[in-house]
Amino acid sequence: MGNWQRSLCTGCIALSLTSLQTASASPQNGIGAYAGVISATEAGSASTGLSAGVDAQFVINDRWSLSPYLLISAERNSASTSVADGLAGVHVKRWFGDWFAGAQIFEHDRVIYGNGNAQSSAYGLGMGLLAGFEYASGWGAQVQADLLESSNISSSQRNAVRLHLVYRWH
Amino acid sequence: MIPITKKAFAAAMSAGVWMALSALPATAQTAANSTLASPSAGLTDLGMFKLENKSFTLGLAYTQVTYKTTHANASGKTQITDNGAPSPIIELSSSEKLLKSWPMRTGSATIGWDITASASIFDTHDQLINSAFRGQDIGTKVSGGYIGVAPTVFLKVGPLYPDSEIYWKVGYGIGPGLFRGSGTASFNTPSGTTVENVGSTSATFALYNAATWQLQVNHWYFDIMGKWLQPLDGKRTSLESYGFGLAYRFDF
Repeated sequence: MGNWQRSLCTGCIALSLTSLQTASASPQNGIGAYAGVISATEAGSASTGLSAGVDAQFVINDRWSLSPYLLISAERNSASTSVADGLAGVHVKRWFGDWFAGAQIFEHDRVIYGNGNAQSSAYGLGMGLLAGFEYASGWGAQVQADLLESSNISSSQRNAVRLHLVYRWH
Repeated sequence: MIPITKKAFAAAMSAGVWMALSALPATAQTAANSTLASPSAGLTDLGMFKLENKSFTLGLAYTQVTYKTTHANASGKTQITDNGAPSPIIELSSSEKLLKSWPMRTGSATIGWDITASASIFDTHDQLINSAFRGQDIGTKVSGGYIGVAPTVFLKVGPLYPDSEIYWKVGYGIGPGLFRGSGTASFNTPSGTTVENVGSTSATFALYNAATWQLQVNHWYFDIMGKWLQPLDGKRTSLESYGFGLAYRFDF
């Protein structure tokens, strides 16, 4: 895990700890908007950038929810080329009051741009873990690990960590 | 537009459905129109859940279409794409039928099925040479159209809000299709690169596959879609289309 990813995880844990004193509430249905940062590694190359997305959270009961989502990131890697990664997937969350932990599965498309042209593309399945919290006000935060992003390029596998601020319209 | 493999797309869809179902409570509900009380989640109003009537859907998508085929003297397949282009969404769907339903806090998660017919046209003119997804215009071109009819199994979840008609729906269908496509394409042969006529101007029966990932808001659909046709022409020909779009559903 790189420094950026360690920082992201630490940031999320610190952000989460600040919510401990907040009264618990059950999860709510709603459209959510995400914005934050991403750190990724692929074939020994690291990239960092911005991440944004939307989801629709469907609450099953007080403990479980299901959130189909779309995410996209714009990154810059160590070779000074631009990387874009788009995800379409599903979060399954287990709730503990305002807190949640969960798993995800997604399809991703990653494109590397250089000199104004798309230089390479990789796509495939991925999975991962997530954790965070959401207040009854709609605000929250989430750390999401995108792991084992499989690829049509056999030598290429991508892992990423995203830290998002979230607002949900209940 | 970035391509994705049909195996990966289908696997993602099925895995997503499996993952979703794994998280659902075991209290299966077979009647969609009753109202239940859930001790942990308060009232669960399955009466909110709505199965759609027969409908006609029109819209506009941005898709990447890739045509692949073989030639007797060539090594490997030729692939020719449109590099991404607007395309119409034209679909005719039967009413949605309920197979099984699970209560959620608002509405339900439902496994159902319908039959959806889809038609579209394509115009591929960028040969895939050095890139797996971005072709080059070298003068080759394959164009045509297709119709597919697929019984489709779907997972539909919602509504998102009690007073709304916002649903998430993923589905996969397979069925017969009619395909017509013809033009020219570049092939690698032992003696070098050659351009050959491909396809046929007459329609051919095909195997049609379709997968969708939809957010439905009232009559509007935001749709991420994948469609694959395999014409039964003995040349391992296929047409793959991936993209996203916005469409409006007219009930009748």
